[in-house]
Order: sequence, then C-alpha cells, then structure tokens
Amino acid sequence: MFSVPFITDILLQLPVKSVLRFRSLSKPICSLIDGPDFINLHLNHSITTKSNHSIILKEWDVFNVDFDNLSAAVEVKHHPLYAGGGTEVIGSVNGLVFLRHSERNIAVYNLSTREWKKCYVPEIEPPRRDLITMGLVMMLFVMITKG
Amino acid sequence: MASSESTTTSTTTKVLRLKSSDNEIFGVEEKAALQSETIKSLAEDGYSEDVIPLFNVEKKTLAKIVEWLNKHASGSSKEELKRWDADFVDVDKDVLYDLLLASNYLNIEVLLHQLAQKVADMIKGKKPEEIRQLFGIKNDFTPEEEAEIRRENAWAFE
Repeated sequence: MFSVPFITDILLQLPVKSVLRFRSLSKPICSLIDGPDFINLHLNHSITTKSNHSIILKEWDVFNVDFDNLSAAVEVKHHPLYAGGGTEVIGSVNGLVFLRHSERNIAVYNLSTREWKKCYVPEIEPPRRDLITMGLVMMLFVMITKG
Repeated sequence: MASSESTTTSTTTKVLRLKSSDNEIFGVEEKAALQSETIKSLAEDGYSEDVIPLFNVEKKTLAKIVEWLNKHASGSSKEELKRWDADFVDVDKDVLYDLLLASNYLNIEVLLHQLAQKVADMIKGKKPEEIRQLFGIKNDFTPEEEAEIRRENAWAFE
C-alpha cells in the first residue's frame, strides 16, 4: 500500500529501536533498512535533527544517557566486553564506540543497533635487532625461458 | 505555451488555477502554489495562463493542500506555524494517507516531511503485526525467516 519513497521518509523519522523492530515487516522493507543508502540517510537525519543521540559516561564501566529525553544514566550491560566493570571508552565517531577492556580485548560497538565487532589484535613479537640492521629482504626471480 | 508578451506581468499578485481530478478549480496565489515543485514545473511549461490539471488529487485533499500552501506563504511566525501544523496533521489515517500521496505527487517536501513525522510518531511504539495491518503490508517471510530476523534484534521487541 505504501510505496517505497514514503516508507523511507517515515522510517527515517523513527528511533533506531523501532527501525530494527520493523525489519521483520517484510522482505523489501528489511532489505531497505539493511541497505547502505538507508543507513547513511538515517545517520545524516539523526545528525541534522540532533535525534538518536547518546551521552556516554565513563565510571567503573560504561553508562549511557539518552540525549533525546535526558533520562537517567543506565549502565550499558549489553556491550561485548561487559564483565561487570573495567571497560574503557577509547573514542567514538558517528555512534560507533571503541571499547577496551585490556590490551588484547578491544571492540567496536554500535550503541544504537547493539552490533559489534571484536578487534583482532595480532601477537607481534618485537623484531630481533640483528634482523633490523641486516634489512632482511628476500627476492625471488623467476626465469622464464622461451622454448 | 505562454505567449511572450505575458512574461512581464506587473506586481499584482498572480493567481494560478489548480484543477482537482474531480474537476474542482481552486485559485491559489502564485507565491503559495509554487511551494509545490510539480506545480512550479507545470507553470514553467506554460500551464500558468490557464488551468493546471492535477490528475492525482481529489478536491477534498486538494482543499487541505491549498489551505497548507496558503498558510505557509502567509508570513506567520515560526511558533504559530508550528502550532498550526500540529493541528493540520492531526487527522485520521485515511486522510493522512491521501495527504501523503498528494504531497508526494505535488512534490512539497516540507509537507511530506511533516506528514512522515506524524506517521512515524503514530507507529514508533507499535508491534510489526499492528503496522502490517495498519498499512496493508504483506508479510512475505516464512515463519522460520521471521523468527530469525526477530532473533537478530530480540532486544528491540522488549
């Protein structure tokens, strides 16, 4: 009944929680919501209308205040590094929060959608001094002989 | 096509005549009417001298739209417009839907935005089943697929 331009216009005005709930309306609406175009539009809309904003408070763990209605601070227990305390926020951009619990336990977390990615921290041994000075470079030449 | 002599009309306010799909004619001052991009381009195409036909808008809806166009060209204060707009969109679902269709067809972005905001406020707390019923959306998920989608954001259903 509603053509797609309306659906986009209406969904853009909704809080993230409602948008996520409406992914289950139908397949076309779900793929619209999951598409990069809609995600960008919703982000830009949130920025220009100053909606869907959060204030993150850092105490022993992460606390969140809904900026739209300045509700009481709630401890964020749904983040991927939650262990009852000790998680720091390193930084944030466009709603993504970088969390650190220890040197090896780092994650990027979307506070609005509750999606997250653990960051892989490779175990790199400090290189030996003699190898640095030698500048170890291996080159491989392949000779091709024409028959 | 508009005749070349008529391009330099004096400062008297020009009135455009808009015709609804059921043949009712509404006179609207040009300044108000041109808030619609569709009317603007029809007027530029030379319709401005006679009646501008709006095939997709019935008179009861066009009357509301004209009311909105006039109010928004009247120079009312921001606060007054805000109050007025809140009353304007406070209508039942069917009228809201007709207004959405019309403002989309007439390409009046500000009004479309206001109407979308109103619909969003109406539906933001509702369950998906209620939304489907309200807007006649067909659920094309299998029960398994729907359960999976719901599981992905289970917290949004709390």
